[in-house]
Amino acid sequence: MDIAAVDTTVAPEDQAVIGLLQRAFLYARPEHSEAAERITLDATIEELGIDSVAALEMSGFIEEQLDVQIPDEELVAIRSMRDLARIARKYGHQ
Amino acid sequence: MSTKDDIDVTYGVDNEFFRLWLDKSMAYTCALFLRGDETLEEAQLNKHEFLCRAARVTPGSRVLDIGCGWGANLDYLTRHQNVREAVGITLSHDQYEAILDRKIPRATVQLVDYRDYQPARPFDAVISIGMFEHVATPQQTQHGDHIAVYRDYFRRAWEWTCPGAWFGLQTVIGAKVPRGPALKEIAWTTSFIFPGAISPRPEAILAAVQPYWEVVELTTRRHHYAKTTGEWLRRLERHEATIRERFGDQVFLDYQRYLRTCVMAFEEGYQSLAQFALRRLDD
Repeated sequence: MDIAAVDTTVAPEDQAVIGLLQRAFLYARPEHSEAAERITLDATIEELGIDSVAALEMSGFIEEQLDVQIPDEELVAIRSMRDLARIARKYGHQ
Repeated sequence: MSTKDDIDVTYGVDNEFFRLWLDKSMAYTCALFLRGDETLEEAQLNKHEFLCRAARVTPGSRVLDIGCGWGANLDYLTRHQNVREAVGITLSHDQYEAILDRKIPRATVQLVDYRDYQPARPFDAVISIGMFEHVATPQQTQHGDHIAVYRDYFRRAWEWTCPGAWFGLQTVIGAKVPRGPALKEIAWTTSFIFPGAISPRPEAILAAVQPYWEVVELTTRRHHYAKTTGEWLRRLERHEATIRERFGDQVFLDYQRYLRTCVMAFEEGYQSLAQFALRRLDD
């Protein structure tokens, strides 16, 4: 997939963080690359066909990218891509 | 709650398989190495004694054991604490049959889901060792429904007891979110050895006991579980040839991987072991 493609229906400030989430998804579940294209901020972990382990792997990728350590209580509360995006922004993603 | 099929994956390999690497009492939960040089058998007795104290068990007590395994605690309650009556409930048919075979005096066992259990009379004390991990599923936890499920469990325990009762609860807890290779191994263990189960976060338990029970004592014991699982691993590997021959290569390899993961998870602090003394709230 071309993760650099721009969806014109998404606000520019969201497009960048969605790109980060797509790269995190491809890191966590490379065998399900088609699902990365379905990532929106409203998508739940379940809707993307992944589980809580994959969500933790995605957050681990984000931690490495941003060079931060996200507190455990925030990691275990992740239910959707919006939760992950909020965490990414909180810890430094512009 | 883990389904009966889930429970059979975890506890239904074969009673003789578990007998090869657990202690003689068949306790499949963390032991307490209080001196440090005890045998596994002695350390398991320490654990049962500690939980009896937490639940304020006396010789006259009627005690319920929720998720009673192969009956190690029922045996301890009647043989060492001389309780009036010990009742165990389990969802594992293999464990149920094994307990019937033990013919433990003053102990009875029922093959029943705790959500369907109706005691004949209320109990003076409750003990639950290593069953709480089966109460909420990973999916319920992912959806944020787990605290309500745990609270329903504590409500039932409250309804099964007399005013003034105490509850000795032992459970693995998720202490630190794993990352990298540790996450992969712990996730594998959860999926393949304990499907349908998840280690609760301690804050979820503290929230869920209310308004039924008060946390009076809380002790964590991760080094004791690292030592217990290390001893199980040593015994498993000592019986490698027998296990491979009788139960297959994959069973040996899976359990070796699982127990190695447990030792790592407790030593590294990803998981811990919590023992609670809970006092029933009656006001």
